[in-house]
Amino acid sequence: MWSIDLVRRRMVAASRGRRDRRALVLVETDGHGQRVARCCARARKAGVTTGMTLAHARALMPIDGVRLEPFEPERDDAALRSLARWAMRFSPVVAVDPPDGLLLDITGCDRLFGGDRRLVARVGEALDRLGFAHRVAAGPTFGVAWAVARFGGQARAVVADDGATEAMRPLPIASLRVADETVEALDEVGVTRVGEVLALPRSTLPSRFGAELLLRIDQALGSAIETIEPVRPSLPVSVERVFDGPATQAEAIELAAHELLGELCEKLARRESGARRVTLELDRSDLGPLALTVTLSRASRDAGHLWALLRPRLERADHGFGVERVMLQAWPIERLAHEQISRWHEGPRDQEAELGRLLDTLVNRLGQRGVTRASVVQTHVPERACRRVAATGAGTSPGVRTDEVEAPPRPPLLLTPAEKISVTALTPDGPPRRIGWSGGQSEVTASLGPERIAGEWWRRGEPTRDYFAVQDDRGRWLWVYHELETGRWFLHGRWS
Amino acid sequence: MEGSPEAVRRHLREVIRRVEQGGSEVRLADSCVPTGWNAVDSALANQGAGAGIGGLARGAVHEWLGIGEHGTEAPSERERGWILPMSLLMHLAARAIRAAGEGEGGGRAAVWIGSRCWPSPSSFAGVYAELLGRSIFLEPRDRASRLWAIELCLRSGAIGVVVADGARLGMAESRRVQLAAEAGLARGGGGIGLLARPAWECGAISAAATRWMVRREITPGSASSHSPPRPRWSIELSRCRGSASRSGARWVLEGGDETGVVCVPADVVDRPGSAADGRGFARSA
Repeated sequence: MWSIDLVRRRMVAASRGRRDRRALVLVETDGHGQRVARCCARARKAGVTTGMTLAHARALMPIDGVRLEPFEPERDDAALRSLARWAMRFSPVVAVDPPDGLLLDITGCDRLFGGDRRLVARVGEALDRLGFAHRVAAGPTFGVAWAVARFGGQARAVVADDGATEAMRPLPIASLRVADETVEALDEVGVTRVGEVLALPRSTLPSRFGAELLLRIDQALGSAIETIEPVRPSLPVSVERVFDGPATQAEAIELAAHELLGELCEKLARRESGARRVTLELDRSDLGPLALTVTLSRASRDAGHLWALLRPRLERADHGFGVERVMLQAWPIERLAHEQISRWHEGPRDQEAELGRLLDTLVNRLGQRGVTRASVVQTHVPERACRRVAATGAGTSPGVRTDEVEAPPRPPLLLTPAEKISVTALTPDGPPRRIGWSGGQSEVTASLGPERIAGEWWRRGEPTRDYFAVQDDRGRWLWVYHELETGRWFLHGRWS
Repeated sequence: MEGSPEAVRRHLREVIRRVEQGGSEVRLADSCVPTGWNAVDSALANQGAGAGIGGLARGAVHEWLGIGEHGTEAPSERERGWILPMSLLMHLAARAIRAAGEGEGGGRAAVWIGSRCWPSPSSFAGVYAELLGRSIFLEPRDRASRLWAIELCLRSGAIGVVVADGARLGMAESRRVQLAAEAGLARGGGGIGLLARPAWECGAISAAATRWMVRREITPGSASSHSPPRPRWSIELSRCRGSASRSGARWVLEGGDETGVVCVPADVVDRPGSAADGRGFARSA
């Protein structure tokens, strides 16, 4: 229901509150076609189940009574993570349990809310207000709470500390969080309830149904420890300094910023992380606040490097009638392990770090558009064969993959736009004999081609070109083409 | 090492130099980037400290002038008529990052500074695919930031080769660039700097380690015999710091063989060399 609820929320938001009364089906596409990944209660009532083909599902429901949406598990996961951060108001230790669960460690928290029952009720009410279908259960172990929430039949349940075994007994095997094969294997021998498993001799279980079953039973009943990986709140790291009255001296401001940077880097080091973006904010007495931002290609907490990037910006900054407050913020931050500072040999890692620093410095002065890499585009049209992408940012590792395509060689110099030239040829579609271009009149002494490159059909009216590589009487190799539709000739590149 | 006494002596000299420098920091092949053109490499072999394998010295700037058109260009045609020896620059850049990447695991980057010296990315297919993956293209807005970028990149330890538009660089600027390259070598970087300059700047003085003049040559033979296109150039070592006598040597090169790299054309290899060619050999032997 989690995915369905999310999609419903998005739909409501998009239609500004108008509710769509149709049944909702989320569709995923695999190798065999489209299938139902999730469906709402109304669809389920009509007989739709997950895993059913879309055609089958459509047949079960009226044509205009169903709305189809794509199933996006990554988006749902991200939403679950943010819900986990939201849930930190109830407990400091919250873990996500994909695809649709949250685990809260409420040890000690229940007192703040007046007991387990009150806490469960509060969580339930809060989720109601958010509009998510839910079930909440509290128990002595994560295993019991998980099982009762999913299979208990009650929207809100609390299992007493000594009631774990009793609570688990009537539940189906799947509530033990074991693999589907184990559930099936037990089902084959007629064991369908947890209580029946508990009645079996314990020593025979691992050999027949795998070690996982025992572990899960122990986890549910509290004889094995289960750890969860809690989500951590990611807050920006920031430091600030407030001046006693507006400071006008550039040196004072600079000094304060430099000191703050040192503090910021120390803070980052303590958290074993580095900044991907650093913002220096100056609160000016008469003007609005001024933010100077430096974006880094890889996380860093090297004060010297950051200062080298920030300082030129700060020097050019307009202080107005004085600066009242200097604030430095690192956000987003990334985990950056501690490293040994000096060593004998520079490994490839150091080189990568050095390249990162170099790119940051370059981007800082030349701008994001002045520092690029080339990414190859799969097309035959030469001028579109590559795209410039920012050298920093996503996928910064050197090595933009280029497929080794068996293509005829292309000239290293491509003219954009192609230069219009006059050509004399012996036959209409034949190679040129004489070329008039910006380099003068040339006689062609050798020519190769033609190589036909058709325009891409999805771009309307793109002409087909016949390319020739020709050498003129002065030894210049030119790449010229002839537009078949218009009969015009162009010089497109040179081998130089 | 081969049996010749000269080769043994050269090898020993290199070993002594390495021992004296204390450690294996500078390896034999690290001191220079072999061009892959045998005659050129052996002519450069004695240059600098490196012996044995010759090539363009690391931590130094090499100027490539041209492509000259028999010196007949009208002044008005100059600016737009400057065609860079792009194939040669790509060939050398690929050699430089390949030599730098050997044995170290991590490859170094190639930086192309100034949009005038950016090769068309589609020409990087095949042997140059790795070069494209490691290439960073910079577009400085003005001459000052172009010079700043060249210096910064040469100084960095992460760069294998810097190819830059070197037009209108004065003596002071070229010295700064050369010093930056040397500083880069001292820091363990040791990229080479390739500055492309127009042919008409052959009179300008500079602090570069070598200066090469590239001229266009006519590819002989009928059209069908050269597919793909095989442009030819002659390169002349017009200046070589530390050995004035070696300058003036000339070689003919041809592009577009099966593997795509630039090489000495087959009909030139076996031919008895020209006077200048012979001089280059004589010095190296």
